[in-house]
Amino acid sequence: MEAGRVYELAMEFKPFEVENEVKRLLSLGVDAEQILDQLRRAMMDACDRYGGEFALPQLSAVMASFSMGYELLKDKIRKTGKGRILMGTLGSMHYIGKDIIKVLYIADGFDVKDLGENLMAENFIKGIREFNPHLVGISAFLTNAIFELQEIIGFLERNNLRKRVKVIIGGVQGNPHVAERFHLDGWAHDPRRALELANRLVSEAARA
Amino acid sequence: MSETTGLDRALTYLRGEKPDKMPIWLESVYLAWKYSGTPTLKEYVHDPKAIALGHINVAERFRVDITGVNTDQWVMYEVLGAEVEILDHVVQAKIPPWRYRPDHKVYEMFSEKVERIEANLKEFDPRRCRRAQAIFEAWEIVAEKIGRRVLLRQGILGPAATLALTIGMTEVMRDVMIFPDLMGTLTKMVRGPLMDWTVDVAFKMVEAVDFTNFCMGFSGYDRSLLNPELRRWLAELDLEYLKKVRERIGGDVPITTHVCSWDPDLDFIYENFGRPRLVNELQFYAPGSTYPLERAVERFGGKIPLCAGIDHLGPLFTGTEDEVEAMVKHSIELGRKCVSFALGPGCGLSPNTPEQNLLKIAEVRDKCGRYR
Repeated sequence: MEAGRVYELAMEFKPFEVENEVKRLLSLGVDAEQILDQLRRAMMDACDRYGGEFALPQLSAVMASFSMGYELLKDKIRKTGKGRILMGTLGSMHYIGKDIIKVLYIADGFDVKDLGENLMAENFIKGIREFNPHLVGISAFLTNAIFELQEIIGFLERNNLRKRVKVIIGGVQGNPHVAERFHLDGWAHDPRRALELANRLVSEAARA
Repeated sequence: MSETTGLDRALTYLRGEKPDKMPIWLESVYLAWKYSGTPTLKEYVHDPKAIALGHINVAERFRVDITGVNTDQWVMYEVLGAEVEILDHVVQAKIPPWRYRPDHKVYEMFSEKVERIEANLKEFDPRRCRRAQAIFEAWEIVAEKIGRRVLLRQGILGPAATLALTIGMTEVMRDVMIFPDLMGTLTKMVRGPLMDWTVDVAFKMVEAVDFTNFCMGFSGYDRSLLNPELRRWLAELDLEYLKKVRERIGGDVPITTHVCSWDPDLDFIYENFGRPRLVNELQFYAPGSTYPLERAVERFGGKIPLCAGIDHLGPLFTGTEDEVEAMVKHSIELGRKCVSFALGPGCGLSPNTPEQNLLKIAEVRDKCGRYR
């Protein structure tokens, strides 16, 4: 059974049709992994086109297809063991950038835990304790809570976790000055760079 | 001879002439809160005297020539149904229930509300809500206390942004791709009652700051945010809006700009709004954004006043005083190549910006940024 229609519908910005097609394919016994491959291909292609043919509206529309389709598949797919990533937005409700990167990481096979928005250092620290991630991806839009980064890094250092838990920043505050000032492992402004960074840093963390 | 005030300096700059020294624009909602002495943000955003005091203290402490008095982006839109939450450290929009799942009904319901605006504009006066009333009162206080010395940049985004900020910016951008009929529905709403509403609010704001300027926001003209087709759609509506605002406020009121964007399409903004002389300046975010100040100076510096040069997320926020000095000196050198130039950051400053770095801006400007 061919799942390629899922990809086409996602790239045509039709999330409700994607949802119906995923349901139909599952009812016909199509392997969830095969369907997920098509959603993954759509998300990766959308990210490749971002900055050229696609801007945020197109990327968000494909993301809606991925999310609505993935919701139906998530309990049926195998974990890849590629690495664990903890994510969240520091200090505000801004979520679109974080959600896009989250979906991209899931699509790439990472095990992702999203802590949500309006987080402070204590939320990230609790998440690190519980989820034991290889990478913490912090989305920061406002500067109001930026000094919370010191506490997160301080916690990792005090617990000798600094080498095996990498920390990156994205969003408006994702820039080399902030990354350097708070001793982070990297920063990213676009999906492709965020993905490359995660793959490299998770490998490093897993080897540490 | 009386000393040149910040207001004189700013207005001279906006005319494309060189004042005694380069004006400085700085503003910050949260720095003003810090300098107001009000313990909680919730109290602060409801208290016009505290809002005014905080902004006056910041303007005087850091010797700015241009500033703005604000609390958040949604304060005018609460009357239209925008919902905010006020946390300990931030005022922000509530996350809408249609975040994960697009819902066409949201637009149908909003369209019904917009039809009511047409019938009764008064019912939708933002000052019917307590926070908007507080900010209008704060403008009056600040205008009275320092308005003869400092230019108060006040403005409201165009009607398309009014709609998006009320419903949810990212959701509207997503949903125009998903629902094929939505662009038509939105255009109808934006061109109709929402246009009248936004122009009316713009006029009230300009009136509150004694017709010294109107600030037009262009932050949506970001290459990562909107693709060219949507940018053209937005520009058509914003042009219409700006012309209507101009008709209401009169031909002499300068129009300042605000482009808080990491990936600004400055060429597009200049072509559509700068070249036809609909605006008096281009304020944008550099250094720090994808549009280098050097390129902006080369392309537009001889044609329109520019306001930029302070990286509020880089050296100003995380750097040393020496780094701030180097940044300001470099920007001043570039600014000398322009018809006129103001030093300014990309957007509102962090409340955690080191005070010595902020003080350094005026110090370096006084030393190196004089024209005569």
